[in-house]
Order: sequence, then structure tokens, then C-alpha cells
Amino acid sequence: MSMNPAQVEFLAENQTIQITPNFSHDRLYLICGEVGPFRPGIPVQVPLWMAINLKQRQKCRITAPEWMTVETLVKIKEDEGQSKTFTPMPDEHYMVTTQLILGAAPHDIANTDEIRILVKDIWDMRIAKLRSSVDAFLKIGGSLAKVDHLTLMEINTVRPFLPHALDQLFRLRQEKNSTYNQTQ
Amino acid sequence: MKRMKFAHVEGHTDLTYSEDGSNIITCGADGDYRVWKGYEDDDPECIRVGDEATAITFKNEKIYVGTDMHVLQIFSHPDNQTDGIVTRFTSTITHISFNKDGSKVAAGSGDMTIKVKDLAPSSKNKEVVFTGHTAPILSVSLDPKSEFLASSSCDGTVRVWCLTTNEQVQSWQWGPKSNDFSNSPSLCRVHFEPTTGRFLAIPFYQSSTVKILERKTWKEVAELADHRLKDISICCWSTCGKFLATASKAGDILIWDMQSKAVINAYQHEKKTQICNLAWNPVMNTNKEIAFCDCRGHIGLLDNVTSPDGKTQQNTKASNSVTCVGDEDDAEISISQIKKNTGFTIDEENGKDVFTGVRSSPMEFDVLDDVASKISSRPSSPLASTSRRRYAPSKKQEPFQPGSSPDHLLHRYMVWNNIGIVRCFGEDGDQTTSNIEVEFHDTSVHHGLHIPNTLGHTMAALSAQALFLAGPALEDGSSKLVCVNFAAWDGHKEWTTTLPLGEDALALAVGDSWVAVATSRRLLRLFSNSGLQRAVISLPGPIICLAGHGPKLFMAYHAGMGMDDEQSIGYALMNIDKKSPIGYEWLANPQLLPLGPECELSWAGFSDEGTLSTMDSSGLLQVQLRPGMWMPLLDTRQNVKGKSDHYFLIGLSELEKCVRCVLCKGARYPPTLPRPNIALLDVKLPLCDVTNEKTQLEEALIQSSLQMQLASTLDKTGFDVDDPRDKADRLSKESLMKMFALACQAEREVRAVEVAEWMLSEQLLQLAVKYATRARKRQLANRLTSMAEQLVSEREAEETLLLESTRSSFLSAPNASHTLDEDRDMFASTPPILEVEDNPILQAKQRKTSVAGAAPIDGGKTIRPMSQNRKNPFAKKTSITDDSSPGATPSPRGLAVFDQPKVTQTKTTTGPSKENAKTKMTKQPTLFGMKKTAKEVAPSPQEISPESQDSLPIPAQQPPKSGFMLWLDQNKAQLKVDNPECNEAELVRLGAQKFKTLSEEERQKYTRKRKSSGDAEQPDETVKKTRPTLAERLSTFEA
Repeated sequence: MSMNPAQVEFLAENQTIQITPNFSHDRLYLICGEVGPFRPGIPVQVPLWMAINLKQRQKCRITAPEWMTVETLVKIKEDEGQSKTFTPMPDEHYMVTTQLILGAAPHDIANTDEIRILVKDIWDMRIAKLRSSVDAFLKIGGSLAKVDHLTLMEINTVRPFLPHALDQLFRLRQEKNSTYNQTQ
Repeated sequence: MKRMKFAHVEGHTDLTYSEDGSNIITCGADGDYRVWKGYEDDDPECIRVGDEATAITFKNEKIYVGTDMHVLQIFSHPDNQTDGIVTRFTSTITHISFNKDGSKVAAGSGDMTIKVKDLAPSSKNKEVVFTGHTAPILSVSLDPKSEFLASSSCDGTVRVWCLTTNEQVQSWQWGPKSNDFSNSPSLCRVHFEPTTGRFLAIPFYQSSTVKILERKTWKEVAELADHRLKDISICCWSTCGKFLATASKAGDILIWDMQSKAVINAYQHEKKTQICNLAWNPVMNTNKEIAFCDCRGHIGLLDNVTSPDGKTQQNTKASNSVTCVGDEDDAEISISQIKKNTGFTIDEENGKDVFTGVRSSPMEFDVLDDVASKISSRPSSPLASTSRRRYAPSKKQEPFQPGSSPDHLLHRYMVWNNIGIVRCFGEDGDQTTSNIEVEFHDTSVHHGLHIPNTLGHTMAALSAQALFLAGPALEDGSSKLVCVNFAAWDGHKEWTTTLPLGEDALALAVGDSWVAVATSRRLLRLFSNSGLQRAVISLPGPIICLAGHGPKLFMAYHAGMGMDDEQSIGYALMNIDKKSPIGYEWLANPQLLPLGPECELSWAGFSDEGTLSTMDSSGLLQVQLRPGMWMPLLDTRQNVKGKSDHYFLIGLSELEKCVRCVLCKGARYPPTLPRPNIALLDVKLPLCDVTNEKTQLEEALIQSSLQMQLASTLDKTGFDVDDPRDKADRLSKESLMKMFALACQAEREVRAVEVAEWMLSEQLLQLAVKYATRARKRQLANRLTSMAEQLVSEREAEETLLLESTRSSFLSAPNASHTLDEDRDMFASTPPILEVEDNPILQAKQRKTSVAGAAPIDGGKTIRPMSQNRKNPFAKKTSITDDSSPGATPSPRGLAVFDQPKVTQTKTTTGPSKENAKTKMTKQPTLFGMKKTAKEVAPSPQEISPESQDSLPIPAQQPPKSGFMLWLDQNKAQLKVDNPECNEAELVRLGAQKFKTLSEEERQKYTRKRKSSGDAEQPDETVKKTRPTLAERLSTFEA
């Protein structure tokens, strides 16, 4: 089964992130766990969806995750460029998190544009890598491949198409085999 | 001997003294010359003259520098302005020399020429060039009487020239030839005796001697020889002409007394680096000092160089006499000689030995290898040594605002506290216009403010009611206090007041509707938020800072001179009651503030709970436990990674055990942009052996005990402390039990008993006994049992009435240790599982506790496994609401951590332990009430028969409130009216008795009610109905 980006985003929104609220509120008891208490000026960990929502209502400032700095991302980008395989990402949903945070709170984060570009670069690099490896995989006609450190969103970019294509190939091959067998 | 210090980059360095001896002027390969105001000056004036400066000298308030432009440049002193040039060469200037009155200057250069220039105004700048040398000039020396000029050169010769005829008069070979002064084996610094020029000193490299030649005849009058003159490079007469200093390439500096021609002091450069130049301080007549520089660009200072040193003169003799004491056993050894050698002098007048101090050089300077030479006596009077130590007042820190960054910064925090942030943004280049921005953490307090800082405020204080700004005096001499009282409802938010002329505001603090200003006249002025002047109080000393919280005002001031470089800071705590104009008093009388070694106070304030706390510049956070007693809470520097990282404190909460601060990378203060984030640090006491499990338990115990203490004091002030107190209580019990287990495992029974002594609840002790028994520690178990007995008997003395039966059964119980053999294998090591059935003592206790254990359950505290409890928000809510109901108790899961599979039993038994602890702590009567309650509940039809009391009630089946509780809730008020003299416990007891006497149906009614509606509200008519019955019953009972 494949997931659409919205579904992946939904999953990513459950990650926690640090915010600094500007209001006071008691602890909240949510299905995903307890959140708070919220005290003005004191950082607290909340799910991403709540952070985005509070930010949209001007109720908090979002603290960028540790990896969301230019230095870290440049390093990751370099590593990704040098490595033939996929390198581990700092965050399972790095793309979604970046998109959401930068979209909602561009002023809370330093060097927004650079970060956006860097994350996009990393994404492009990984997707290109993924495509080329899929291409190579199909060309050698392999039936089994192991790929590590792919994030959910990345998997889902190829998921509806790749298994389907493989199925088709398999079917064609079977057909070919059976006709071949029949002719024999 | 002073430590050498860095002056210039590596390379040829030169130095000179100013004529008044107060400045040392150095130049070096970095192209700067530096004016050091004394050797201790760490921040010399630095003047750039080119890419390299090779020679420097000082004469008649002017500095002459030879630069890499090959010019002899003049600079004025002390303003260091260029003042023309003397002369030009075609190569590096290597040495400069003046005659005595400064009318003539000679300079030698790498272009093999020497130029002598007349500086006298009458001479019309006559310049004479001497060109006899065939290699770069190494040094020049002008005769003080301006008749002769001596020079040395890389061609290996020293020559003397006549200044009247400009002819060469003499020549000697001093050493090998070379092609440049940087390659020369010796600098061959020749020097005329500076007073009259009677002698000329020439270092002879080849023979390793210094020859003293007589003027005019140029005959050798003396030859100084010493093994340390090898590679001799420099000779330099003292300004008085009585001493000669020599320096060699190996770093040896010798001071010669020219009357005896003997070495009086010898030093060696710590790294044996070549000395580039040395200079005598021109003004010192007695304790002469020499400054020197080496080719690594460092400078050094030798003081007291001419103090005759008995041992070095007769070095062999003196050292022998000391060293032979042990081995030769020579009876002839003069004691006085030894004393003299080791720093004693004999006071002639009263014949006593006076210790005048042993001078040991911090540099490894002395060359003699024996012990005696390492210490040298100072034969001057004993007073001389003390007079050298100058009076130096300890430095005292300037007043500051806690939570602010220093005001020399362009963008700074004026205050950052729990309410908000006040920032000041100066504009580049223009100091006078700046803006103040106020941001509130809680936007519901007030919206952000933006105020132009026209009055030059430097201080701010922010509370949830008002913002106060103050600063130093303006041009017109008055210092203003401005208030923005945003809590005002009459439309007049601002007021300004002017301090009396000449009085500057130095510190500012705000509290609950008051503001305090400390001024430069050492007055503390109190204002109300609306601008009323409340008080003027004299400060006990120069103010350092103020801090306010609620009604409390903290002030730190300089209390006196500290030891050495330490500060002595006093503090006082004041209570300000807003209800009365003169409602202020000391909470803590002025006393001394604890401070780390060589530290300054960097933050002072109050925790959220109102406890006084401070942080010093070493990053140690301390809190005041009670007046005068402080405890370090956290060393914030432990958490930083970099050496220069610091934490900037914002606030702390003791109940939450966390410290709010901002990590400043490479600085002490946070930057305003990008906006820093608050970090939460956990409180961590600086105990020993932090990684040890024992320490962690100890810390947990200390912290939780402190928290419980704090909670009990806060309880009175209306703080909501139930939750933290429960946590602390649980934690303290957990850690006590774990500590006990740890001590048992380590076979430390004494320690285990000590831990047990801290267990104030029988329940914990029972656990401990059980544990000890299972761990086969018979002796320990016996001790604990007797302790438990004692504890119980103490308690029972208080509860005589109710616990008659229990006590009798307890006393008749046999020793606990008989159960030892029954289940020893089940108990491997750690978790003390609670099983009650097989121990009669515990059984007896258990009966009591199980009965009592029902009480909290009745109070609505249904028991669940911890995990479930944590996750379920609804459960949490019920517990919160029930906390307010009478007789509610902390949730009974204190020892859940020890629980293993037998959850229900353990859970039930843990309940009362909490109960007991609470009783112990506050001596509150609820225990009686509970016990009674339980006791009385027992016979009700719902409950089990007395025989089955021992079997434990299963918590899940327990209803939220017993029938009796319901009944009591309704009738308590009436009972109170009827028995006004009774306290809570007695009331409950009475009520229980009464409930017993109720008719069966009555009781059934309540039981049913309990069943049907946990804690639903009772219909009013029920109350009405029961009341007459109650009165009735009461009368019958009394009858």
C-alpha cells in the first residue's frame, strides 16, 4: 500500500518539538500523551501539529530542532554527496518537519532560506540516488535489493510506481517463459 | 624575580626605560613599540612604527626607534606622536646610544656606517658618519662627555673613535667575523661607564671575559672572568657606575660589583634563550632592578639585583659549609653563617634571631646547584621585607542588575526575568539615541512596549504590574526614575520622579506593588507602584545589587575589605508590607554572603517559591535554606562543553527542581540576536562520587527531603504543593529503601541501620525487616525489629485509645526472625516483595494497616498500577478533584517501585506508610480519623467479619467512599457545633461511635448511597432527615 504525502505528513506531525509558549495553561491529556503544563517563557515539548497550530495563533515560538542549522545541514549534504549509499537522516521526517516549521514560523528560525535550500538539495540528491539505484536494479534484472536509511516520504515517492512496474515486469517475464515453454 | 611575559613576537627585541623609571618601552619584530607602565602593566600602549623595530632608546622625553624603513624615528612621550626623524640609513639600525645630556646621538647600522648626530639646537643638525668598520655595526656607545665613541662590528673588531677629530683611536679584536648582526655569535654591546666615562666595558667573545679599559689610555684595568661569561654578548653599566650587568647568549645574567670585581647576583633565563638587551632602571638607587628582553620577544624583570649576596661572592665556601653539615659532622660550623644563609639575620640589639624572609626565585635563575644558593638572605633590616608589601585594597565589583548584560554593549538585555525581557538597542555611532523594547513572556499580561530611551536609562526592573526604568545622572545632574504602571486602571500609566541632585540610581528592584532604588548616596528609596514615596532607608554599604520577589527585598552590598583579592559581600533581606506605609522590617539581619574563591556575584534573585538564591561568577548556584545557611544547588559550569561557555541565569524552581538559564557560547552574556533559547537544567547537588549509585540515591534523598520541607512551609502560603510533595515523598521512600538494599548488598549493616533510622514510617521499616530477613541478615533484622517496635510503641503511646487491641497482639508476638528458613530461596537479592502472611509482627501490623489502608481508598484514591495511572488522564482528574475533599490522602503508590507481581497486596500495604509519614511530618490528626473510620467501617454489613480482617481487601472492589465517610461528611458540621472543644481527630472518633449506634437501615442507606453514587452530591433532604436522628442518637449515647 502506498501513502499519499498528506498521510505521511500526518504521521510526521506526531513528532515532538520544543516551543516557548506565551500563555499559561495546565497540563493537557491527549491520546498521544500528556502535554504541558504551559508556562509563559518556559520551553515545553509538544507534538508538531500542536506547535504549528499554536504558532498560527501567535501563541508560541518554535525552537528549531538541533539539526536544523546551516552547519549541520551542510555537513549532511556533504556526507550524502560523498556516500554512494543513503546516509542516515537526523530526522525520519526531515522534509515534512522542515516544510511545516519553515512554513509556519519562518521568523523563529535563523537562516530560513539557506535551510530551505539545503534541505531541498539533500532531498533532490537522495531522490536522484534513489531513482538511479532503481534504474540500476531494473537493468540488472535483480529481484532483491536492500536499501537502508530511506525516510518514509522518500519511500512513498517510488512506492506506487516501483512495485507496480516490477509486477508488470514479472508478469511479462512469466508470459514470455510460458510461451517459450509452450513453443518447446 | 618576576615571571617573564610576552611582549612581542619572536625575533630581535629591544627595550629601554623611560628616564623616570616608571615606563618600560620595548620594540620588536612585530613593528610595534610598547609603553609598559611598570612591569605589572598588562595592557601596554601599543604604537605601530613599521613592519619591524630593531632598536629603541629614550632620552629627554622622547622615544627614538630604529624602524625597518632604516630611519631613526622620534616619538614624543607620553602622547606617542611622531616627532620627526633623526637620520636615515640604508640598512637596519642595530643600536642607538646617547651622550649624557642628550645632545648627541649615535646610531649604528647594518650598512656598516655609524652616524653621530648633534641634536642641540645650536649645532644645526651636524651629522658625522664613521665608516671604518667593514661589516654591519653591532653596537655603539657614546662617551658621556662626548669625546669618544666606541663601536663594535661584525668584522670582529671593537673600535674607539675620537669625536673631535673623527678618527679611529683604538681597535681590538673581540670575536669572530660574521656577515650580519642577526648571524653574529654575540651582540658585543660595548658600554662606557655612564657617569663620567672613566671606563669602557667590552665583552670579549673569544676569551669569554669582559675587559674594563681606562679612558684615554685604553689600558686594561680589570678583566672579569667567570664560567658563565661564555658566549658573552652584552655589558651594561648601572646608571651609578658601581655595577655592571653582563648577559650571555646562553641566558646567563651576572651582576658584578665593580669595586670588588665580583659577581653579586647571578640569574639564568628560564629557557636559556639569548638575551637581546637589558636595561637598568635609571632611578632606583637601592633596590636596583634590571629589565631584559630575549629573542623570543619576552621581557623579564630582575629586582634587587644589587643586594650583596654573601654566598655567591664566596660561593664555594658558603655552600660547602652548608652541604657538609650532614656528612662531615664538622663541629666548627658557624651557626650564624648557616642562619644567614637560610634567611635569618641576627638582630644586634636584642640578640634574637630575626627571620627576614627567604627569597626563593620563581624562575630557575640561580646557577649554583647547591641548596644554599637557592635561598639568599636579605641582610637589610627586617622592616624592609614588610615595607615591600604594598597595601592593595581588594577589588570591588560594580553595582549591577541581576539578569542584565553589561551596559557598554550596544544591544543589551536590561533585564530578563520570569515576567519578560527588556532589551535596549543602541544605534551605531550615536550613544544618546537608543530604544527600549519590552516583551512579556505571557502576552496576556500586557502587549509588548517600545520606548525611546531619551533619558539614558541603563537599568530596568519588570514585574507583572509595572516596568521601572532608571539610569545614571544626566547632564543636568539629576537621575530619573520612570515607571510604566500598566496595571493602572485610571488611564495614568506613567509617572516620573527625580532623585535629589548628585544622587545616582545604582540598582533597582521591583516587588509586589513596590519598587526599591539604591542610590549612590547609599540610600534605599522605596516607592509604591503608583508613585508614592514610602521610605528612605540607609544602606549598610556600597550597593552591589537588589532583587525583589513579592514582599521580599534582597540587597547585596560591600561589607568590608575581604582577604587578599576576595570581596566581602554582605546581604540583608527585607519584608515590605504594602498595607502599611511603614510596613517594612528585616527578614534576615545583615550578614555575609557566601561566595566562591575569587568570584563575583553574577546573579541574585528568588526562586519561584520565593527562596533567596545567588549565582557567582564561577557558575555556582546557591540557595538560602534558612537565614545565614546556604546550600550549593547546581554548578552550572558542569554542564558546559567549552571552557569559555557560561550559563546566564533567568530563574529557578525548587519544586520542579529545574534551573532556567541561557547557554552563552564563548561569553558570559547572551546575544540579543539571534534570540537565544532558554535551557532547563536539572538541579544537581555537588556531591562526591557523582557516578556512584549510592551518591545518586543520597542526592535523591536529600533533594526530596528538602522538597518536603519546602512543601510544608509553602503549604501555609497557599502554594499548590500536593503534587510535588507526593512525588518527593515517594522519591524519598524509594531512595531510602534502595539505599537500604544497597547497604545490605554491600554487607554494610551499620549503614543499613543508619538508613533505617531515617525511615519514619513503620511500613518502610517493615519492608526493611523483611528485606533483611530474606537476605539472611539475622542481626540486622533483629535490630530493625526492635527499632520498629520502638517506633510503634512511640506511636501507640499517642494512640492509646484506639490501638489497645493491636498493641497487645503486637507485644505478644514472637520474634520476627523465625520466618527465616521458610522462604530464603525466593529472595535472591533486590526487590523486597511484600508478603505478610507468615510474620506475626507484620501480621499484627498488617491488620492495622489494612484497616487503615481502606481509608485512603474511601477517600476516593482508587489504586491502579502506576503505568496505567500515568497514562490515563481521567484517573488523574479524579485524583485532583479528590485532593480537596476532607480526609483525602496522597495516592498510595509510594513504594510501587518495589512491587513485583503481587501487586494488589503490596499496593494496599503501601498506603498507610504514606499516611504515617504524613502524620509524622505534620502531627496532623487525620491518622486518628482514618484509623477510627476504618475501624468503624469494618462492622458495617458490607464489610468483612472481624475474623476475616486479616485477609486484605482487594482495591478494585473498593468503592470510592464508604458509607461512614458519606455520613460523616454530612454530619461533621453538626458534630462540630455540638462538640466545639474537640479537634478533628476526636470529631471523627466521635462520629464513628455515633455511626455505630445508628440503626441498621440508616447505615444501609448510606452504604447503598455509596454504592449507587460514588461521590455524587447528597440531596438536601437527606441531611435534614439525618440531623434529628443525630441529635437523638447523641443524647442517647451520652446518657
